[in-house]
Parts: sequence; C-alpha cells; structure tokens
Amino acid sequence: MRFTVRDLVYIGVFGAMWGTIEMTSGSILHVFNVPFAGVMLTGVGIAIALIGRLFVPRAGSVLGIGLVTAFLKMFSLGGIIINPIIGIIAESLLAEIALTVLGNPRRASFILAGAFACLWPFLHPFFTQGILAGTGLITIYTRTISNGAKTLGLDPSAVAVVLIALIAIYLLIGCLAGFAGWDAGKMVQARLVPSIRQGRV
Amino acid sequence: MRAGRESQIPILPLGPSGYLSACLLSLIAAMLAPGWRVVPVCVLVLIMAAAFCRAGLDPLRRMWLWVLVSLLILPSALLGEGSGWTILGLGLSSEGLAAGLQMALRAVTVLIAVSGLAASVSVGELASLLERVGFKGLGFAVGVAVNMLPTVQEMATISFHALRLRGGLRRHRLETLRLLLVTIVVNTLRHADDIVSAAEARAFSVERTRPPFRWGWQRGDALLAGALCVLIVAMLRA
Repeated sequence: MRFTVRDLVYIGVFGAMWGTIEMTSGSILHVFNVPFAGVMLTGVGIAIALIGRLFVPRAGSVLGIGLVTAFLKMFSLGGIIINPIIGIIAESLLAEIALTVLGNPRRASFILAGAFACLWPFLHPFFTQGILAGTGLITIYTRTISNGAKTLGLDPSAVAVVLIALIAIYLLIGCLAGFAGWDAGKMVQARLVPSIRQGRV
Repeated sequence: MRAGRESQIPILPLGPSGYLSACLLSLIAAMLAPGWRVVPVCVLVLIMAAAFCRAGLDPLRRMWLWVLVSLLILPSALLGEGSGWTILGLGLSSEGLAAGLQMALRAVTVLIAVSGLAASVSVGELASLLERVGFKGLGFAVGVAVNMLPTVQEMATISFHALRLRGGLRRHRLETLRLLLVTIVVNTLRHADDIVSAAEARAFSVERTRPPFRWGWQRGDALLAGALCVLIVAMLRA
C-alpha cells in the first residue's frame, strides 16, 4: 500500500476523529449501560472511516484509519484495554474487505461495508470471551440469547426469533452507518469544492 | 524515586522482536491451554514479566484488576452447576469455582502479556513494524493523529456549542447530528490541509524518510522465542 503524504495526513486525521469518539463517547455509553452501545459506537466510528475512504480512495485506507484508532486507544488513559483494540481492527478490516471486493466507492458498497463492520460487535464476545478468555462458545451463545431476549422484551425460549432480531438490528445499524458515511462524505466534499477545484483536497 | 526506577530495569533486556514474540506466544498459549494447564502458562508469563519487563506487572497493583478477577470468579462459583460447599448460607459450586478461576487466570495472563509489550515497545517501534509489512507511513499517520487529537476535540466542542446556542438540538435532532458531523469533518480537514502544505513545503516524503526503528532479531530474542515455543508445546502436550 503506497500512500501520498496527503493520504497519510487524512488517514491520521480520520483516525484521530474515530479515536476521539472511542475515548469520550465510548466510556460514557458503557458507564450508562446503554443497550447496543458497542454497535452504536462502531456505527459512528465506521461512518467516519467511510468518509475517510471518499478522501483517500485507495485500498487499505479504512484499515489504516482503524489501525491508527487502535494505536490511539492502546496508548490512551485508562491502561491497556485489549477488547476494544481487537474490535476496532476487526471492524475496519471487515469494512476494508467489503470495499475492496465491491470496487469503486458507491453508496451500495458503503452500506454493505457498514453492515459488515457492525456485525463484528455481535461476534466480538464469541471471539474475546468465548475463545480468548476460554469461557466457551456455548456459554457465550446462551448469554447472548438471554441478554438479547431481555433487552428486546422477547421470550428467551424463542431462540431463532431472538437471534434473527439481534442480527437484524446489528445489520440495520451498520447499513445506516454506511448510508450516513456516504451522505455526510458527499456533503463534506460539496463544502470543500473550492479546495477540490484547486486540487488541495 | 531512584530505587523505583531501578526496580523497573529488566534483569535481561530484550529487543522489540523478543518482546513482541513473547507477547504473541503468551496469548496463543493462554488461548490454547485447556483446563488447569492455564496455571503453568500464567506462571511462565509472570516469570517472564519479572525477568524481562517489570512494568508489565504494574496491573497487578491496581484495584480494578482484582475487581475484574472477582467478577469472573464469584458469579461462576455462585451460579455454577455441580456440588460444592455452603458458606454463610450461600451455595458454592466447585465446578463453577474451577471454571471462574481458569477464566481469571487466562485474563491475567493476557493482560500481563499485553501490558508488558506496551510498556517495553514504543508506538514508533510498533508502527515501524507495521510499515515493514506494507503499511508505509503508518508511523507518520499515528504522529499526525496524536497531534490532531486536541484539535479534533476542540473543533467538536466549538461546533456542538455553536449548534446548541442556535437552537439546533431542539428540533430535527438527527439532521443536527448529521450537520455536526459534517462541520467537524470539514473544519478538521481544513486544518489537515495546513499540515499537508507544511509537510510539502519542507519537501517531506514518506519514501525518503528513514524508519524510526529497524526491527531485527537479536540473539536473545531468538533464544527466548525458541525456548518459549518448546516450553509452551511441552506444557500443552504434557
């Protein structure tokens, strides 16, 4: 991956924006125990990274933004928190795969990339708690279903309904994030038209 | 102060490759160790941290770690299946307690391994490692991001207050949030443009910059990585 100085500055800037969201809103959402806090945070972060893709339209830019954010999170106050770092890298990697496979930046590719990235918070506990911490996949699966049923006000015995509803919510938030990323990115480009004409942006 | 500093000096200094391989091998061992085999893995990681990077043991002095450990052990012991003991009228499950202890040991192992790496290897060194595997200029991007953090926070605060004072949050809240995001991004990109101009004015080029650190294997790193591989395989197969 070869980036110009401008590309790298933009990767750093968008990484700083995602990092700011992670370090401020992330803590607040988790302290207040907001339902679906993780996926909402991912949605905002990935929308910012996708706007970055419009300004750095090269393969690897979203992953680069994710890596910069992970570095900021790694060395932020509060010590090492490995789970968010794994999450940020995995989310940006999933979005990057979707964007690279789908080719040129389009609204549809952004929506799909957002959906891919926002599916990770659903899979995250299976990887970090189930495999990394050794709790076991079945335990995490049971916990996910019971917590999901409680949050959505559904019957925990209706496993398939709870599972489908949870995945649908994660995907919906991801699609909205992708849509918002495309929409906001185009608005930003429109506002910076004089700079674009001068070849500055 | 001096005594405190001396206590942080490792008995055997390693290169960044050694620290990174030790961290990765410890994580793999913690993930793969079944049941009580996590105990020798945890002991090995603690010994390594004491020998090579004492700052990695700092989390053991923090209260939050022990709260986390008790949060892992207590619910499993109280809600786990199987027979056990009764203390103060509360039934404790031996199987649940065992599972909780194993989870806590895994968590401590992972934490010590990662905090040891973070305490020994700088951001620049880690970034230059990623540069070597293809992310050319990542160290520069991380540097820009670190310097931009206060600017982004300031721009976000100013934009939020400007929108709030104009009554932007009373109606059409979603639209306001979208405009807030756009305003922050536009202002930050304008600032970023100044950074690009400054870098280009100094003829800065990613291709011409020398990486801040050259990753390589010292004899100690290779020896440690080899010894760890053998030890971990032996522990997991025993």
